[in-house]
Amino acid sequence: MKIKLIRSDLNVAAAYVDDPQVITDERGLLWWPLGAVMEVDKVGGKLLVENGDAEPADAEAEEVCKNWKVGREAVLVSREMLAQCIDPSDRQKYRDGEMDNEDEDSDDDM
Amino acid sequence: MAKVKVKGTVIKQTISSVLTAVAQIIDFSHDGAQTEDYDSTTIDTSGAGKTYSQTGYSEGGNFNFTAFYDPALAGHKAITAFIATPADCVWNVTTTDTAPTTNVFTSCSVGIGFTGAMNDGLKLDVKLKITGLMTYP
Repeated sequence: MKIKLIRSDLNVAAAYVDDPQVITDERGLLWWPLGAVMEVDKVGGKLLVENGDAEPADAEAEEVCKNWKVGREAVLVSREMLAQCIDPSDRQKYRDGEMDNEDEDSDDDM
Repeated sequence: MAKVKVKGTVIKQTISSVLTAVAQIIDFSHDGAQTEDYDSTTIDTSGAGKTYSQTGYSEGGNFNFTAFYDPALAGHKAITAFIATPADCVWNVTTTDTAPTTNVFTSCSVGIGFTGAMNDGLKLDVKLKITGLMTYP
């Protein structure tokens, strides 16, 4: 089945390093570009869709990930909070729009 | 020289084609990485001190973390699934230093437990046994 990645903060698994879509950064780390489409196993692909990392990209994936759109907005908000390192205790504030995107600790003296 | 914040550290697990961040981790540790040695003392060793030498091998150790456990979360399901279906998994730990640094390791086995307490959230405890060695900067 095929999936399309909907995030740009995903590194590349060893089995896919030769994929022509892969991007190498200045540190030598390998990244998938936003929108990359790839063939994956059913179990892993379903987990990535459910985790808010990907969307189904063919009929087989749509079938495997039935009802993937149910509660999708909440999944994507949760995934974004993860990417922004929002503390679990602050998640409701984030959902309520009471937090901006700035790092609240950015002025800390370390 | 710098003191590196833990906030913002990202621990990623391989799921199929990607490495994606594990959610809701509250602490983590790496232990047990150890060079292997053997007792090389012989009866004609001079002095009282026993001697040791390297075998040339090293233990990779373990990587452990605790997370607020969401049994419905796909990323947490991917971890607990290793109990029923054991498999190797490649993990990344990216710290918040200026580089930032990414340490890579492969787990060969996974230990899972979860704990609950009246005055706390449900927590998932994960212990990963490293096969080979973690890459260190």
